[in-house]
Amino acid sequence: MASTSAVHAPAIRPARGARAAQAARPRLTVVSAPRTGGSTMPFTLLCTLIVVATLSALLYLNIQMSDASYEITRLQGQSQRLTEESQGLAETDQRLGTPQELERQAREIGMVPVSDPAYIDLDTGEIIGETSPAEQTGGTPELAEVPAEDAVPPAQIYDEPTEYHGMGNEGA
Amino acid sequence: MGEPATRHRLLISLVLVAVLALSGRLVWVQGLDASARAQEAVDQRTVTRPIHALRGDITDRDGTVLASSVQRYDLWVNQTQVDEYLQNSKTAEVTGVKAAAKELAPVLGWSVSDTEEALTGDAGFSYLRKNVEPAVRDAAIGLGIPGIGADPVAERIYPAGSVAGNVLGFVGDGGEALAGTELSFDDELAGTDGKTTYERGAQGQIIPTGKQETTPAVDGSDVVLTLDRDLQWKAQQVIASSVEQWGATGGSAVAYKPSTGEVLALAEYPTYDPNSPGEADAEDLGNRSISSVFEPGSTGKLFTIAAAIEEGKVTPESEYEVPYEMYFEGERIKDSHSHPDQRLTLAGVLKNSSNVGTVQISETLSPEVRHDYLLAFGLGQKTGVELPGESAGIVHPASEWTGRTRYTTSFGQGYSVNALQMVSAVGTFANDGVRVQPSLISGVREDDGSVRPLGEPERTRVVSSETAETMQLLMDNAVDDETSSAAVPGYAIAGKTGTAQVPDGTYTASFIGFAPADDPGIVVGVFLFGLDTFISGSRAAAPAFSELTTFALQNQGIAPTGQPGRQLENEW
Repeated sequence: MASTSAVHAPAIRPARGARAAQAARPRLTVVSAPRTGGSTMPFTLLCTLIVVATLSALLYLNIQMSDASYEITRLQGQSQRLTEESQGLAETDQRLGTPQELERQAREIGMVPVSDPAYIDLDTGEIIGETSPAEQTGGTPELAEVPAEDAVPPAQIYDEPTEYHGMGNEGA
Repeated sequence: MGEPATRHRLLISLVLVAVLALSGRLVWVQGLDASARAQEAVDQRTVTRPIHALRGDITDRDGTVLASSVQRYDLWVNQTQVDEYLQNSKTAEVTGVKAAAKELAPVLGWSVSDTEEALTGDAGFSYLRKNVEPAVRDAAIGLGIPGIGADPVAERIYPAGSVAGNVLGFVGDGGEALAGTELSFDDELAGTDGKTTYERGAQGQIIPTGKQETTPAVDGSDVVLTLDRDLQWKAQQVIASSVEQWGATGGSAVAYKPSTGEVLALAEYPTYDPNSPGEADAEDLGNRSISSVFEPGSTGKLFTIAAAIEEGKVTPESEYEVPYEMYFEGERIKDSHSHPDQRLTLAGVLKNSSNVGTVQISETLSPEVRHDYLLAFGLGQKTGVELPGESAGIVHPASEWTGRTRYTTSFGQGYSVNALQMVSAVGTFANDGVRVQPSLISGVREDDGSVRPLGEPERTRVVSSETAETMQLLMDNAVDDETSSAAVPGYAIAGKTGTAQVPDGTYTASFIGFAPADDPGIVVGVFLFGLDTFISGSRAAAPAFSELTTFALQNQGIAPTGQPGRQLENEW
């Protein structure tokens, strides 16, 4: 407003200017009072909702993490069990695969070592060497008959006396 | 005190004092001392667990496991608690130690009375059974007997027992390497322990929001040997039979691949089971083939003859007049058995293993030249094989070959060697005149399964291809494939026997040879130590050589060449 009057009367003293401003007084109107009758409930609800949602989310996440943690512990236990089981099977495999055990089992089913093998030359089809059914004999007569289990006995981890023969789940 | 007002004031004062004290404590705990308290709580639930690095396996050349680390448990009992077993049960007829023993006995594989004895007493801690398998531990713990617990331990097992035991060595109770490959390759095998730190909940679970720190363990690498387990087993059987047959105090058998220097079998007898090294004699724990030195005897004639041929002084057809005994500058040299005068070619001298003839051949060379050849064949110095306890043997300088020694060195007496040196030296003839340093380790297995070699073996040309070829011929001629006890059906065999007296009065008998004679794929040496009487190498060691070589050729898939054994003129 002041700038408008200044344009109309640039040299006039400020006192007059004030009167001029009075003259140009804007019209006042009565505005309606803000509505105060509305409820604050929705806002409260919203806030509560946000708080509850946040807490729930937090709780949920925490529960999830705890669950995961328990799950990890369980899986670690399972992994440990499976590792031990796999180790047990590998040990059995190793024991059954030792030369001592293989020889014993082979002899049990009547197999004997080959004394005179023959070879086939794959390029020419020629048979090198002569072979014949091996005989059920022991070793060379010039060598002492040392029982296999004395010369190279099985590992001492396997022949402990009253070895455990259960399934490992008694009373479990 | 009677006035209600006084009582009231007193009560108020007491309450105030109490409130003040509690507030003070609250401020102290929450405000002033908070971080220390919090730290204490964190410390209480934080645990650090070591992660043990798993010791690497030792495998044979094909990856078959020879030494392996496994999880075991030590079962222990607090005897004072066992009596509580089933005490609260309403249905149990038997309770306490008796009931526990009955349940536990089948799990441990013990009798009930033994088990009961083990559970009875006042001991707060005693081991029930050590090194049980995880399945046994689970079953024992699963019974829920009070006072029974288990501690995990890492156990080193050797599934094949004494097979390659001397080469593998063993570890102590604490897992520290004590002998053999376990000791010499401990750096590769051991690995590095790690640890994990975490905050632990009441049931042992990891608290997810807590602090966690893990340094993973680095497991040890697998070490791959050059041995073949089956061949090693056969070699041990054969040498055991031989030693028992002839009453020797010990024996060694070596199978060696001349082209690569790989030792396929290094067998000793008596030997031991590395699963329980404590039960063996200390002297059987090493490797005789590298630690026991002896005079090679007649097998040493090969080096004299090879040197003379290489120097161009003689040929297989060179002719010698060989009496039973002969004097060289006053030194009496005689053959092992009395015989009439013979007219032998050089080939015949080797075939008959004549000392007299060999000295005549050696006299075409100066002692210095022969000495240098012995060194070139690798004698008198360590083979460099990757095992502790090797003894280099002794080859004196030529200047010390005075008097009799000048002559005896030509037929393998007056210097000492170990068995592996001899086999690798003879391997020179089987490998075109090039001696390859023997090796027991193929390398270290990488994560991708490949084997990283630990360096190339040293190769030394000792004699020319032509000389090596001639030596093969001479050694082929020396073994009669029809009648020799060293013969292998279907193959031409080249070899040489040796017998030498040891200063303590016993004898060492040996046979070293290779097959097929005209295209050698494998060199085998059999050595018997501590024989009471003179038993020739052809009687004592050759049958074992035959047995072992027959197996080795099949095991290594070496086919016969189809060429019969070659014969030379032995007399003139």
